Amino acid sequence: MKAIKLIPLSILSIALFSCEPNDPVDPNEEELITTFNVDLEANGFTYTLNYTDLDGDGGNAPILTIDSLSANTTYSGSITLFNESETPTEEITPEVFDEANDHQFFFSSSGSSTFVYSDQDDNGNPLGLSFEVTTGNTANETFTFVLRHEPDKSAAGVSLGDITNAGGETDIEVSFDVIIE
Amino acid sequence: MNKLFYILTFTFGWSLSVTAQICSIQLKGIVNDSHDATPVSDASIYLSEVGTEQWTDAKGKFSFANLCPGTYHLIIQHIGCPTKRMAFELYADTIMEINIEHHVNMLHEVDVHEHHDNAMNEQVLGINSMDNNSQKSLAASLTHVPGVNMISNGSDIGVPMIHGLSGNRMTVINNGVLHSGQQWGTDHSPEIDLNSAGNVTVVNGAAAIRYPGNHMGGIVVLSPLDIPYDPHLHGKTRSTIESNGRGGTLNAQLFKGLKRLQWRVGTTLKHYGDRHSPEYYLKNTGTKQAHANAELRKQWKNKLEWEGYYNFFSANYGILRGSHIGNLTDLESAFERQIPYYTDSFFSNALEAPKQWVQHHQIKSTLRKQWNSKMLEWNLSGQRNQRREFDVRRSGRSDIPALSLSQHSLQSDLIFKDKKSLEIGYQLLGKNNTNIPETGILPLIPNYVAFTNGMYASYSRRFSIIKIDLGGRYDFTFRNIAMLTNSVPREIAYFTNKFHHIGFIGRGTINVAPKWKMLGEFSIKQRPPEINELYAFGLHQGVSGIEEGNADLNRERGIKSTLQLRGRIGENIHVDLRGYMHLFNGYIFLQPQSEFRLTIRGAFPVYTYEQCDARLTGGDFILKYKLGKDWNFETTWSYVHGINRSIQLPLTFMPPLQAQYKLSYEIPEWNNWRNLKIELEHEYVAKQWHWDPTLDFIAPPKGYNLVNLHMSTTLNKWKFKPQLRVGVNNISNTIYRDYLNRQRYFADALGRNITLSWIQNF
Repeated sequence: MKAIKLIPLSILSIALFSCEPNDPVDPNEEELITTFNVDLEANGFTYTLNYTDLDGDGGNAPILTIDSLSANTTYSGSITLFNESETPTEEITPEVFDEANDHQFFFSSSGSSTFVYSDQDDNGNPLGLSFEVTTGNTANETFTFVLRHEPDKSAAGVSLGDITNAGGETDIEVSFDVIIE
Repeated sequence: MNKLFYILTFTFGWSLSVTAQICSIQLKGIVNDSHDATPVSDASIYLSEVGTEQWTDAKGKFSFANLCPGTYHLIIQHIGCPTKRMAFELYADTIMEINIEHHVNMLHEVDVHEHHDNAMNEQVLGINSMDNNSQKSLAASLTHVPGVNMISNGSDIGVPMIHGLSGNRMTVINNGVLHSGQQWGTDHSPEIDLNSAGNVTVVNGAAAIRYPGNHMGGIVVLSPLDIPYDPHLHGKTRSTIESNGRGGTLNAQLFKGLKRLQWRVGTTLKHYGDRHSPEYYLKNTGTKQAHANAELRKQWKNKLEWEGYYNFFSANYGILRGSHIGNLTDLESAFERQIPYYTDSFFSNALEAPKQWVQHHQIKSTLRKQWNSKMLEWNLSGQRNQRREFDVRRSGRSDIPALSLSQHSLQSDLIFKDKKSLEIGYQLLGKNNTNIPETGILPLIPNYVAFTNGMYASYSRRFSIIKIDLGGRYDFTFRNIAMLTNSVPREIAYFTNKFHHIGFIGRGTINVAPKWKMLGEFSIKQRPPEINELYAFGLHQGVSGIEEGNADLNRERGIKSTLQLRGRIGENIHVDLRGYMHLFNGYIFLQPQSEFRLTIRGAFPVYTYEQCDARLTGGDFILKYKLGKDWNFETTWSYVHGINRSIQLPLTFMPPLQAQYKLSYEIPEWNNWRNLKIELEHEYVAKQWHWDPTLDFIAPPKGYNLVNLHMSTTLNKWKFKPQLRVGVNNISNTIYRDYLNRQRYFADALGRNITLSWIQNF
């Protein structure tokens, strides 16, 4: 008897269960970096290396903008990061700057260009939002920029810009094919 | 006869004669093996209220004299049997017949009895194993069952794998309810504490037809124990401390069994810090876990029964800090490290990102009516599952989950049984899965609502020496999906899934010779593609890459044939041999794509779900040899060979060849020690030679050998008689990595572990 009375209850409880899924809410990807911009300044002119991928992982391919550089020239470089998928565009650079102790940029070139840090975190270790690059002779080179989160800055060579022992997670890894003329 | 002899058995209650005398009552008894009714000698019989112990003689008999009328408790202990307690009231001279489950001495398992037919192609973890494994995860406790492996991600996150099938192809049934969580991730452990169950059964064959779910091969069934009649409150504690992880597990249960009302409550607490590989600490590999359950059973005179059950589970699992990677370059540099990044030289209890937090509630009501030899049962259950996964993130976001899912599910079953021969059931399952938008990351799987309508029928019949089982099931799965697209701006796309899937099973069990039994089984199973296989999109740390679903996937179909032979050679050798072949059409697997995906974080491997024709062929072998009165030897072997038939290449993450040898020495009595058992165990896991380099990042680790030693006894001291156990796992502190543990990419597996356990019945 009891069982029979309870059956409608079970049907009711299933019916209360919605047939439609909850609409997903845009998660507001404030951590996303869509744009990596390098401004290189020498002799009063600014040259730009820019990587933009508005839709994040997958989807459309990223857009790269690469200015040519002059041979045997020292440029002072500065890096800015943006999330342009938001309106208005959000600058991410301060997040890295505020956590300077936990971040470090690493630079490398396939050719003879060399990089030196021109900024420091609170512990006197390099950060790399500002740097200098000195180009070599005329060539086609690939510049690679890597931002590591929570690297071991005290490991051998890391404060000199050697990524080998750095560890940590890669937040940014972007390569530009640069023409040095 | 001037005396009335009444037979008392544990399960059927008790009775008494009427010729009462004051304090001169005699209690006589006989202890039998419940499997074949043979008398059990050398069993210890302890009468708690008097504090005296007796041993059964060669005919299984014992006797106590000069007892006063009253309520007594007998504690029956025998080598290889779970300790048994009985309460009874004594008014007059009584003769008792006590049946004990002599399971663990496996030589008795093979006896060819009617009620053991179902035990073919099934393996049970009984009370003894549960006591000994109380500190382990569900998956880890099953790894000693032949044919069962574990896909794991560190020490406490593990998913059982049965005959090479895991994840979406494996189902856990907890107390009759399809456990509903986030099974799609190989790094998502079933949200169940082993201690919440009374026993665990791995079902490979026919019995699985009555359970819904996507199990293509086997299922894992957790069931509560019966609560025996006893007017007093009783309970049990299991306490374990372990050297590796410097932590412990505490489980406590209380129960009371009245004539028409029984209840049980239980809880478990677990706390471990960083585990240790032979050479270094594994940073951030601790566990904090809690569980609570309550059950109530009520019977009425008209054979109407009700059972209510509630289970709560909560866990925090740390994931090796050095296993969290940013991109392909990070992954490759992690592979080259001897010692993982972030390894500390000190022990820590801290649990930081990357970590997982899970919580699970299950509530269930069962109403059962029996008449003649028929039974009607109605179950209604609800579950709530929450999962949050934390990654290492910038600007204090490590405290914000990177994955946050909430799931509600309902299940209603109506089951009719006629004796044991016919069973018909109808099942309705509903599931609502939602991403909580707190993550700041595009969700990996979409929001969805899924319904499954299922019905099944099974029939079994015996014709002289052959027993036939037949079963069929049909399910209809319907899903409504709402997914965020990866366009800018984000939009919502809606999809609908409809899948019909069927199952069929037929098997025959034949008594081929005295003490020899053969089983032949044939089954057809289908499962719809799961939500992640259809729609996953994004970076999945669990596969170290970008995972993409494939909306064009169709049902996966499998046909499995099993042949099993079990029997005894002479009095002392027990053999169990099982072989199977599982053919798949449309086997769903993750195929790495040839090109890497370029993102602002660098390159990532991309995996897409694809289907192929596959074949899994394997076998399990068990040999038990009674070497002498006190010595036993046991060996088990298992192997699965998985191949993608479409391209004739190996399937990935198939368990390699494994073997175990166990030598045990048991003595019933030594000074104050009872049931002293010393067990030396050797485990061998071969290298997985059969692998496809295009499907894995690095070569499988080399094979390894582990040696473990366990010693257990019951101290016949004090009134409470503690059961104690000491174990040393990986005695030689061997450095190894396990192919099925994802942590092998980054770190060595666990080093030596010393375990101390104290099990107390009261």
